[in-house]
Amino acid sequence: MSPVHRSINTESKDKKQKHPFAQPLRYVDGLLLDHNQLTKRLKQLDMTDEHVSVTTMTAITGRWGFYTCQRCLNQDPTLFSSFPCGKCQKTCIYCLACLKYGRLASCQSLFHLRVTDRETKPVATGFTFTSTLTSHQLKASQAIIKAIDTTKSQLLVHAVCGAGKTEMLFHGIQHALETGKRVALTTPRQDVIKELLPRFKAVFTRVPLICQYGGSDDNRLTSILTLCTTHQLIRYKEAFDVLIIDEVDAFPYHNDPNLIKQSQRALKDTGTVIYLTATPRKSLLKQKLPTCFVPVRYHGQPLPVPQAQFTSFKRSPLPSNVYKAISEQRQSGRQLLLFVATIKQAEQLLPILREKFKSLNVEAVHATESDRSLRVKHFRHKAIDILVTTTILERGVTFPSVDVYVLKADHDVFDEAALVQIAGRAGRSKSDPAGTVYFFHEGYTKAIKSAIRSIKRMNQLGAK
Amino acid sequence: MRCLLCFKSIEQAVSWHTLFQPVTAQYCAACRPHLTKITGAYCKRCHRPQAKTKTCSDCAKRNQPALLYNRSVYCYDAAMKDMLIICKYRHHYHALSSLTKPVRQAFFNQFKTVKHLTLIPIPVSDERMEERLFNQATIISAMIPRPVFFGLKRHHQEKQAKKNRKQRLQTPNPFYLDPHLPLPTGPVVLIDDVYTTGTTLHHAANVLAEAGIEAIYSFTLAR
Ligand SMILES: [Zn+2]
Ligand SMILES: [Zn+2]
Ligand SMILES: [Zn+2]
Repeated sequence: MSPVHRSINTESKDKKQKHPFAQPLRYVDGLLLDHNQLTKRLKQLDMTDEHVSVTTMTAITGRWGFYTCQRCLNQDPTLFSSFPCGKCQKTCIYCLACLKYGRLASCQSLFHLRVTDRETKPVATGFTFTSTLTSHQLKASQAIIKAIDTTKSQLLVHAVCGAGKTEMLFHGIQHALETGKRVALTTPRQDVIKELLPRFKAVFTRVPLICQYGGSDDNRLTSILTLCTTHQLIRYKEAFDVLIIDEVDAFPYHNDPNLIKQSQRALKDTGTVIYLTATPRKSLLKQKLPTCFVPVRYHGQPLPVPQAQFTSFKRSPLPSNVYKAISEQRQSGRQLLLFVATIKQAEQLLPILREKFKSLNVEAVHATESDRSLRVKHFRHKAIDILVTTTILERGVTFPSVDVYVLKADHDVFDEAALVQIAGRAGRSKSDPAGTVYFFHEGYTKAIKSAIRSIKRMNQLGAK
Repeated sequence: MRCLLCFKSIEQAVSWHTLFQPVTAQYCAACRPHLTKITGAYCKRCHRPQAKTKTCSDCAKRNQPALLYNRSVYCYDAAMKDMLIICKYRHHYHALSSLTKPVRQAFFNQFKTVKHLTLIPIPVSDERMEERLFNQATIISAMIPRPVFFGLKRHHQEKQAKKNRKQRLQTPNPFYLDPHLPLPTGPVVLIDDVYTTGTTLHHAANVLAEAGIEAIYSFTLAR
């Protein structure tokens, strides 16, 4: 079995257990709170302690239509609204961009909790990671440790899908924790964070690690090691010594400029930030960060190169050459991931596939599917032969032996990064490092072309 | 132009009309709430939708109420509940903004026979105002171009939503009048977001009746 692939069953069991040691007070350092949250926190804190302090800040600064929300750092004038405030008896402003975290108005305050006396005595982490790294992984791992030891440093780790990113991080995180540094690892997607949690718990057995995402039980806790979705960083200011930003090319960042600003704010000014990606965007490359390159998968085999095939989807959601390719694929013994552009396309395709392949178990997952993690689990246990999915399974999730077909690869949702990520689902395990990737398209887009080119380039670099 | 609930941009053709006139607030296709207007038969007093137009059993129990009758615009269904939650508990002042037109129309339809009326929004306590920074009933009364009386006040009580029906019916009257403000002379219409048991509105009506106001009606967004 691939080291990247591990079961997620342990999660519910661990939830009930208490953390091995109590939450040290010092990790509330850096929390950014609104009035209600502060009232709740103050019940836990000893305000007579001279090391604990609360800084009050105006929630929304600026004037004459140029405002900045100090919580979400939104500056878009169309994302502020004015209203007749019943308390102030005048017009006040509130931020729409972070309304879902509770309304913040210009007459309200934000509070920044600080705990100054931070001991830096070594922390016993119960580190259990003993696997040997490949030479490429080792190089990256050492670069990460070096970056962590350097104040105010940045590092871009550019690693192909399936390079074993998480394994490269363990030694660096261990090093940081040992030296009393506070670490956060963020990734845009909840699914990914939930998959990472059991793996981190298995490696850092004595660390009271917390996992924050929308609706998580851990959202009120603070710890020396935090796994969280990107959006959760909104609650921190100058809190972390090391911030690891996974999938920095992924959807929410280029969609929401505030997220990057919030991540930067969550880091202390002496801190280290490490970006991880398989598909860096131009804007990131332009910054010319120190870069560590991992062009080879952990099993040493090249990435499967996608084959583009012109296919018209006008007549049927399942054109004959796609049908033929699937029939042939069934001989390979691998499971099949079928990526589609839209939920509607998935809904049209599913009954046709079930009709044509009666003996097979065909299922679909998409963002609105409530039992999506269950379907993914079934697919992983090979109870499902063909899984139709939208781009939600584009990254982070790993299946040992799959072929990957993309239907309507020319659609807007499939940009270069998405296609590279999707192709990267194939050939992930040591026992079956190959896989077939097809891009069925109605037009050879720039994204398809660049994706195939960048995969080939990685393979060339890796062969050296 | 952004959706009032998810704040994503809504594509809209720019014309001279949209340039020079304030555009009425809107929702995107995904967020548009499917509100149901009250049509068909209803209770003549509380405007509860029911099979026949007559006084409902709850209203029949009230002996000579100070509140003459209530009129509402929408059914208090899941969609309306969601909207009021966004307004009252997520404190989004503009959540109801797009309802201005239908609310105004419904009001003038229902109260066209009542002349020289004054609106009285059901107040919130100072504590609630401190937290919410606005009163949702005032948002609704501001949609209707009629004089408003702000002299009705309220003591702080536990949240209505946390109480069951029986507790609500037994709560003491939290309302009182500001002695410094002259009372409106004509008929008054109490304004609130929702009529559930009616306790709140009847409490307010009792206070006004004791002060000598004769014709008291109420108008709510939802019933
Ligand atoms: Zn904000
Ligand atoms: Zn919307
Ligand atoms: Zn009735």
